[in-house]
Amino acid sequence: MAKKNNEQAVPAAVLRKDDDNAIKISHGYVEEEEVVEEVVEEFNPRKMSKLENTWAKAKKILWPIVKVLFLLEMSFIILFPLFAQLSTTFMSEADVSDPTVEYISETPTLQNYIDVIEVSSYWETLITTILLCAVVGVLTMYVSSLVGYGFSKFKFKGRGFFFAIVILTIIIPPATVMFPMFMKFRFFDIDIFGIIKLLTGWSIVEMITGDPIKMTNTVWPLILLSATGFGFRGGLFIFLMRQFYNGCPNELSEAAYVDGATVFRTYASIMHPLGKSLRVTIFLLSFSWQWTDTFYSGLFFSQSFDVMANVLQKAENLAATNDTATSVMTNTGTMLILVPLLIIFIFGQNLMAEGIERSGIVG
Amino acid sequence: MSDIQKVQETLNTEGQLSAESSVAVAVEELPLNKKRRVNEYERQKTVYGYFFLIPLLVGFVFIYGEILVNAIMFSLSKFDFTGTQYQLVWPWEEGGNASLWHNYHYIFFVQDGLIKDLGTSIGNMLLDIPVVIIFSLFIATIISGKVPGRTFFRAIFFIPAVLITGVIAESQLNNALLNDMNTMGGISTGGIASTSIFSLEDMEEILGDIVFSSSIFGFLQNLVENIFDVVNKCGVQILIFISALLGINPSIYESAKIEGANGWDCYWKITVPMLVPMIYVNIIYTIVDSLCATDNVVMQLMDSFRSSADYDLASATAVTYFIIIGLIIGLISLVMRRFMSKD
Repeated sequence: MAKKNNEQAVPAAVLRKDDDNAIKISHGYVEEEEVVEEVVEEFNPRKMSKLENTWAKAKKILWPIVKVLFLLEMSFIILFPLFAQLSTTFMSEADVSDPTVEYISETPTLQNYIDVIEVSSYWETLITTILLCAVVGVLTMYVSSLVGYGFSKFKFKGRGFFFAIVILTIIIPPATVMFPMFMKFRFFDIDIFGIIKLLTGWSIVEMITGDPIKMTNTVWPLILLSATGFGFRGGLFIFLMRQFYNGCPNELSEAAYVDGATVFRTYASIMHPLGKSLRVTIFLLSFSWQWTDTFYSGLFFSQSFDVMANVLQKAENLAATNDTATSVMTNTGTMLILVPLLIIFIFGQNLMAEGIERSGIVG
Repeated sequence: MSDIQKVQETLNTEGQLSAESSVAVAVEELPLNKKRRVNEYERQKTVYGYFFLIPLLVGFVFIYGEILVNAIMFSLSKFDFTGTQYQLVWPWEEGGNASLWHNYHYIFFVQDGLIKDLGTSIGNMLLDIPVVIIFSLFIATIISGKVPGRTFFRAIFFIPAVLITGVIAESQLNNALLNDMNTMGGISTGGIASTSIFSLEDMEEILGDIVFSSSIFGFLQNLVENIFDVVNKCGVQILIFISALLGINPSIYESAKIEGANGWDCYWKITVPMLVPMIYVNIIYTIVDSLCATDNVVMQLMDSFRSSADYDLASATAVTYFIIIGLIIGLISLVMRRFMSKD
């Protein structure tokens, strides 16, 4: 047995040597014709058999197909409920009560859309909401970037305490602050933690104007909250930006400073542009959360205020009392809310990719 | 450590420069004005931090601080709501033997179930974290790479991030038509499995006996059945990972490839370490998302207090809850810090 093994071992070693040479030769040959990536694979010192070669080639073709199939499956899971909602919006009343109709309407109609658009003054609502969301999104984006940078790159007294507050705003259940928040903006007053009013009974705003400012039913509560980083999930965005700037090397800002830039100049022209892709993400998230928001809209706006969250209610009011008719209207409203948002996202997403190409020096 | 220090000491005494002292010399050799600038920079850094925090500080002092103080005051006093006006009655105003902590005493000891509810929701959260992080990292890696039609897919995977909050979630919650469709053989009932050749029951029979213990299998089976929920939970995390992945400089991969790294090496030695800060963010977001979701048992308890106008009890529950969430996040931060201090 041992003898046999020895006999086999010798030619195998020779063969491998030959193979190595063959690879080197073929490598020289490949380099001329194929792209660089392929060459890198050929550098692999492992012996590459023909089978492995074909497998590598097959992987190049198969892998994208597997990926696309997987993504299509996931997309189906995401889109199916929306598709179901969409299909019902074209149904007339006859279709809804017809048990043979499941997804495709027999007498498709656009009447639902016409009705909801009319009753909810949709176009005015659309413009108001776009403006409101844009302002909130832009404020959130810049403020969270600024504050996140402050937390990441500066050491000062109370940093831990203020960062704890940022985390607190993330983990506090929003419903907890609902009532105090409403009271704050219903009787808005400039006060330090509400202590001055509590101890002395003075109210600065009341002294000047005679009455506390009533901010409900205006967009000011939302603007003030997002301008100070306390908007919807503002803490999350600050945290996100801080993590991002933590990953940026200190040497970048130090070099800029040694070259004569002030702290603010360093931020504005070196660090701020680096975070563009993340800022676009933050903008898109806060824009779309404001778009579909019911928490603040319910708190600060009356039913007649033209924001998207109220479209749904107005649509539901249109329907007769029965359940299915209500859901047809709900679904129509949902589509009217969702579709403009998706269109805006597709544009915004291109911005996200653009940001990366322009800021070349990450890492 | 002590060995290294000894070596450094001997090196210094022998007159050879250690790495640190050579840097010090280099700084000293800088022109005077540049050296001053470096020192000044360090000093400025301590002061200028506050300037970057101005929006947050203003917001905290004038708006959010008061709201927080009020929320805590609610939890300590008795909330009296009469029609249009509300009033806080403090225990000492009430007289008798009421203590400052009576709301907390009530939610923990008089009304039962809070501790059990806390246990369930924390348990669910702990199961959510690995599932959501791995799944969203997986999806984000695929979509941020080269995939045919990625603009389309990125738009699709943006939808869950919008769906989880607000008006669209509401529209799907109590939707008679949608519920009908789902029970007719939609996806959320696992109806697909029962019509296919290879059903979930078959899989349970095969895998349940051979590979997994029944509890792990039950967990996995649950995941497969509720894949819609899993995808929906991952929306924001996927977006955060995508933007982080897009932010990695492609030239790092290029140089790694020239040095001979393959795709696997690149992923585990470049991509994942660079994503660690964002994994941290996503873990915290997942915790908060899981614990503050509307279908969370503790949140439902708070809602039930609120609907019966017991704002004081709701606030006490909320304060307790966010102290616990804070502790969990603190613990996880300690663990994550070990990973992040490496680089």
